[in-house]
Amino acid sequence: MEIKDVQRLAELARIDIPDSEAEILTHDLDAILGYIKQIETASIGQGDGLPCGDTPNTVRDDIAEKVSSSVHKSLIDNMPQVENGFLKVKKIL
Amino acid sequence: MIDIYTLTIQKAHDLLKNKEVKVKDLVSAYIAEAKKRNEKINAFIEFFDDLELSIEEAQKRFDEGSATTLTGIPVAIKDNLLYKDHLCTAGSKILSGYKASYDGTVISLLKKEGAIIIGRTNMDEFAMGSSTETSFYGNTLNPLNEERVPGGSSGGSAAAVSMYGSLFSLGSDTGGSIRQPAAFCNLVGLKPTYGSFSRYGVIALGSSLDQIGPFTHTVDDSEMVFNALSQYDQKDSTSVPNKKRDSFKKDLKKKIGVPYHFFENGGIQEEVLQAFNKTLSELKEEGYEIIPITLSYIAYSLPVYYIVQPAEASSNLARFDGIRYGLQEKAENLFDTYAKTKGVGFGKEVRRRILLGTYVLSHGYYDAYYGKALRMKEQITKELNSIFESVDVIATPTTPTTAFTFGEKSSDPVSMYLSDIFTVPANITGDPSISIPIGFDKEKLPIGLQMIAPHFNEHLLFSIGRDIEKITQE
Repeated sequence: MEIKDVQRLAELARIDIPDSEAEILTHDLDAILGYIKQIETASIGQGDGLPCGDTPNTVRDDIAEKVSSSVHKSLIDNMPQVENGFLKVKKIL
Repeated sequence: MIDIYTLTIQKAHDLLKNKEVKVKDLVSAYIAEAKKRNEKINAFIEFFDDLELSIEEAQKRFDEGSATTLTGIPVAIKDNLLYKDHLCTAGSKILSGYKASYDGTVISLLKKEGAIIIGRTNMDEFAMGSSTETSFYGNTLNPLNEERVPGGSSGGSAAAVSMYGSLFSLGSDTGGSIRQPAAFCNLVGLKPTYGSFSRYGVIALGSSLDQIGPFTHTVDDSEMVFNALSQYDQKDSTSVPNKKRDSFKKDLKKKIGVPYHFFENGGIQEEVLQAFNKTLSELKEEGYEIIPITLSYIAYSLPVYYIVQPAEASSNLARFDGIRYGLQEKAENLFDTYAKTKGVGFGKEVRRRILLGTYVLSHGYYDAYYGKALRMKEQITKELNSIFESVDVIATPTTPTTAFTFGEKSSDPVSMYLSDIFTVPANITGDPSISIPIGFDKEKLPIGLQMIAPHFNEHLLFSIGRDIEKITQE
């Protein structure tokens, strides 16, 4: 791994990583990847895509459920920036 | 005088039922000890100060005769279990100030039983770790030897019970995070079958691997907590209906499978192996058959785990971005709000695992790593299931060594990960697994024996576990 690879991963993951840490991470990730790479040699035949097993997907009806006012208040209280009961965020466009 | 050093849940229940002790006295005795020891041990991040009402209600239930086994019993909960209106931070700076807006289902069940939730316990940040050295709130020490780690990631929950600060506690186990600290702290630690305890209201690390479970002093206590909390929950889409669980039940054959080949690579402390072998030969005298087995794929469990878990973690932790809750770092634009908040809010180990997860899920590597790991997961599960045709449980030492010292493994990530080598298979397959104390090494550090049973056969773990307890107490 090189620093630019780590920086690319950091960008994908949306985490600020200073260059000094990125340097250390190249070694850490190389060591870890070196260890996990051994699954390449495991012979279990070729699969197609991801195995999903035979368990069915569990879904509920798409019906909005009202929450209690105390839960609603708790959600608002946790928000870092609130305006008129709405979560305030940075401009997207 | 309440002797908290010899209590079990059953004994405490009897004392309360026979009116020899009041709930508030029982709880006070534990809290006094907890606060005293916590000064050094740092098992608890916070003691809750709102216990009066739940204590009153529990006492009322005893007065009216409607108390159940867990009523009035003090319990400590890991800092990743949502308890409404209480702080919950997963041992992380990024959730500073976050108050749970709802109760997780296991918490609702504890409340329904009338257990007294006395505080939240320390943990490796976001449950990533095997030593409780990565928490934003500092290290937790092993109550049996303060130079040693209590294990992780549920180190605080283990230490809380081990130091007699609580009669039982709840932790979470994704790769061994209940069983390993239980072994390090001389406790019984249970990871139930995947799908048996609800994960609703548990801050997720690896959604296909996580399970909540109890730390207790005895197997009987573990079984009592298991019976109370092992319930189907509609709100957890991976929760298995109670009726379906019964269809898996097997009878005890008194046959224990041991994958001796798995220990032959070295790296296991001699005394751990000795205690393990001694317990097995004593079980033979109790009529058990010890059968050597071969598990060709088991050695791949750890690399598979360190692909699947970081991959799932990178997805699960994406939500902690400074927008809806917790820490928010000031920035010029939205992207920088995310990046700065995560850079400041996540610790080193968490950042490392998120990047690892991002890598194994990225274009060009996805199939070679994540795809292959999932196929291996299936293969390992199949292999264990076929072995369970001929044995009740598979036994190994819980950990390759007894509790290590602080800093001993924290500079080499792979060496830290290797301490999970015996525990991760049960998370990969979803099988239930328990760690039971079987003795001490010459430094007086506890040794644990681990058993893995087939899905929904915790009763086999409890049965054999009780026999192990009998043996080791003699």
